[in-house]
Amino acid sequence: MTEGEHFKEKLFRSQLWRSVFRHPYPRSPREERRRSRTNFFLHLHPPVIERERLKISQTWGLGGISFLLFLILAFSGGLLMFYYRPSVEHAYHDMKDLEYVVSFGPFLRNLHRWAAHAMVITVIAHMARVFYAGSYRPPRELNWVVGISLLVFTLLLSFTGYLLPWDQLAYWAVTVATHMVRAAPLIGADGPLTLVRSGGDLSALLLGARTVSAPSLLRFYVLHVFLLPLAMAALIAFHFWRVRKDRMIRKPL
Amino acid sequence: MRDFFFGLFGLAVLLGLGAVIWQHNQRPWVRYQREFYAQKEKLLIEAKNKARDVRETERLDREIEKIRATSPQVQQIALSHLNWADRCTTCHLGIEDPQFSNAPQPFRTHPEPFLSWHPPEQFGCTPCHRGQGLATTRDAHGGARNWKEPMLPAEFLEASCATCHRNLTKRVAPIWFRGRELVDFLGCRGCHAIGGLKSAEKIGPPLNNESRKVKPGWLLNYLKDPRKYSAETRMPNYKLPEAETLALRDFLMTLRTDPDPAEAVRWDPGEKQAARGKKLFEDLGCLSCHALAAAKPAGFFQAPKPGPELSRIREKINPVWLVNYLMDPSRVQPGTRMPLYRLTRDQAQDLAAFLLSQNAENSKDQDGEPAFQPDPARAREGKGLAIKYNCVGCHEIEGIRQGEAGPPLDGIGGRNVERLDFGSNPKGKDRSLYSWLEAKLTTPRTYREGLKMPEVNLRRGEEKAVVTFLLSLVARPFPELHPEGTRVAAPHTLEPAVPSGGPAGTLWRKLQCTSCHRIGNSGGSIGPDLSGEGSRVRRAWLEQYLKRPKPLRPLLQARMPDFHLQDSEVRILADFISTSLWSQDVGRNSRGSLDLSRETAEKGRLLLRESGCIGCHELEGKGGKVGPRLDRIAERLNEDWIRAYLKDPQRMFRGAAMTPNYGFDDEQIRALTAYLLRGVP
Repeated sequence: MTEGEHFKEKLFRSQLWRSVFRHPYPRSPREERRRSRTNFFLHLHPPVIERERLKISQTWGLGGISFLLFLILAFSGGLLMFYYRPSVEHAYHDMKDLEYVVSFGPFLRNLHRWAAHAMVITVIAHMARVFYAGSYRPPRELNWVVGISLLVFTLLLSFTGYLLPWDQLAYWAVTVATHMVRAAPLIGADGPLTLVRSGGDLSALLLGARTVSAPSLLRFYVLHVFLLPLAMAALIAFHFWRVRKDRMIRKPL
Repeated sequence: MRDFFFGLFGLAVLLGLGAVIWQHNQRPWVRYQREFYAQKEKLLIEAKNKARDVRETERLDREIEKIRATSPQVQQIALSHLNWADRCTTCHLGIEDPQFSNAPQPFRTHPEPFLSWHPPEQFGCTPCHRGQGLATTRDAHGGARNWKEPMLPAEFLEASCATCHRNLTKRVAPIWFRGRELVDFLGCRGCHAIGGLKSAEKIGPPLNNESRKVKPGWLLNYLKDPRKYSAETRMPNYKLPEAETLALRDFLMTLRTDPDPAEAVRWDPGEKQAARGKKLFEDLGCLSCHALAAAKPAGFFQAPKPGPELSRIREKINPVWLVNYLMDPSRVQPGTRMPLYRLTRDQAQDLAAFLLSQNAENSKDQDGEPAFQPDPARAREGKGLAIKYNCVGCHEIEGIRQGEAGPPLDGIGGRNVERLDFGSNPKGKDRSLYSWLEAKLTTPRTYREGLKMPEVNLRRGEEKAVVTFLLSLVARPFPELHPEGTRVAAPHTLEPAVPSGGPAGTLWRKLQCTSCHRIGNSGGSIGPDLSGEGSRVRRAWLEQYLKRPKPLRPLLQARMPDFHLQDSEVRILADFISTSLWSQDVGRNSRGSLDLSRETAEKGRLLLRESGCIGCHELEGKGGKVGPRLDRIAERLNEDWIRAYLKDPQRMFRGAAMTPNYGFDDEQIRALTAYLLRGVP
């Protein structure tokens, strides 16, 4: 036994390793399967997968890339929250401070912005890939619906983040978008078959007012940094669990 | 293979992060600050090598130490009352440091006296310069897209003075002042409301009797291009299409208030008559108001004349109308400024004959026109055009009360560039408010054909003045800026005070001027009171004196020390003194109004003798040495100040040794001043 192998052996049998991974390093397919069942992280992978399916062209890793981007966004967004205050008085100035004064502020903002754009693209591409592969068919139909919800949440996160710089572009873009909401059927004040009055419709619920103003900024902020990411994280967990249950990307069932 | 690509990708990410860190360290403002501190250190070391005593060396050593320990940091002037911060000083580090007055930007010292009038810690930068104060990159200058108020170029900067100060004088803001004059002179308010008001006075003559006054041929040409007839005319060029000029001509030729003067048309001026008219023209002094090419007065300088130039009126004016007009101007043309000379009909005819004999050859073809009959349909169309082009903005026309005016100009100085109509030329080389305004003034149709704005008669460079004025029409004054209230008094009415900031303030503290000199209510009494020094002495003398003070009063023991000031420092001090330290009792701008004739000066000389001035003052090598020498006093003192001083010495100069108030009257003071200024050669 060489020095290195000796060290490995010691490491895999150490209490630290076992407390984290619960099993020693697997030495047989049986051990491997056992380990996968009991370890949360490894549990994400099915115990057995066909070699052919591991080719990158099978999925292009689009779901994984989307998740990675989600993590980048959560991380950079958390850092941005240190500098940003969601009030009419401060929002714009804090954004300018990030741009001109905070160390690596522009990098942080750009990272957040480009990751957001990229995530919208990869999530859509992921959906297209799943569709063309026919992977939405039973028994995967529920996960397809979950995936569509994740796409909608991705778009909503993009939309709510757009208002936060509180500049002219943000203000008017959101004004236009919430006017579109007013035209929704039944729950939009100007929509067909409307059941609600102006000021009591979906757009008013979103804005907290009739026009884009201080309450809108706060609502969009809370949605953007708390409610939507939380819901998204929960759904992503469920999504992954279903993926695992549906035996990953094995042959069409 | 896959591992290779993953490795490559990882490496690229690492390199990217490295680039981010490197770029962070090379941000432009960081580099500027390093450069500035290096320059400052060099200057301090130079000063240290020249230092004369130990204490000075130690002080400089401490400063050098401090500079070396300084690391780049964002600098900002927080204007908490505006919820704003200006970070311009992050790069422009030298604005208050007199040593950088010749340094290239961004380090150059701010010119004075502006910073001593507006201490930066109170006013910041963007209230005057505009731009994006929060930025620490080139975006600060307004390059950022959609930034509402990009930085004003220096040539238009006076606009900013006028956004807060209403009664600016010509001395403080000459360009803006000229612009405001031009806007009034050119009748811009005829079409555009400014300050909520259109002008009450119409700058053009009334047109109610136009068909009697002018010849139809002339009128047609004039409507096409007014400047072809007179380069000085205020009538703008509307660039009308041919059909519209014809219609307007026909409409104007229907306007008459006189009854038909058919029998008077037969009137034929002869040469003798013209000669008599010429004599009359000279005797009556017509040249004081009118220019005439054939009768140019001697002398280089010709003041602008209130009346029109007369050498080509044969092309324009109907002889009969002219005779009537000369006899009783305001009856024929109500509102004219021409005085009533009480000429007889014969005299009026002589004068008219002379005037119409000017340039006879050039206008022969227009004399023999057959009687003109306006076409009624075209005239109706012309009336519509007169409304469309708002002729009544400048001229009175009976039957038209109001035309279609142009847009009001209030707030134009703060208009967002995205809201300007760049029309068919949307990608002009420089999309900015000021270049747009400039183009509108010089070539109003560049952006779109068919606009109504005419080409106004501006001389080269005058459009900049008008643009400066327009840029000052901002809906946004800064009420919170000034603690005392919204609109603040013009600077010249402020009390003289020690400069509180800026390069002048820095110098002032360094030289400790106030330990000897008094300004306003503070300062020592060893040297003279400087509260009104700017109004007292001439600028050129002041600079010379600051550079190398020569004793003025040989008997006084206190001496102004020689500070060995650099030229740049002298300029900063002189700028401050000659603009800010101004006595309320001394006028500005009256230079040259004094009668400096030999006789007056001679009177002054006698008076000077009688009053015994040379008991104390030395003049032409004789006299006492208590007061300063009176020879060459003109080089030193302003004439306005001399006059005010002679009137009441104690008031003008606290602690003046010249105690007696001789009680000179105005005429005596004028004579004395004339003598002191020019002497009797």
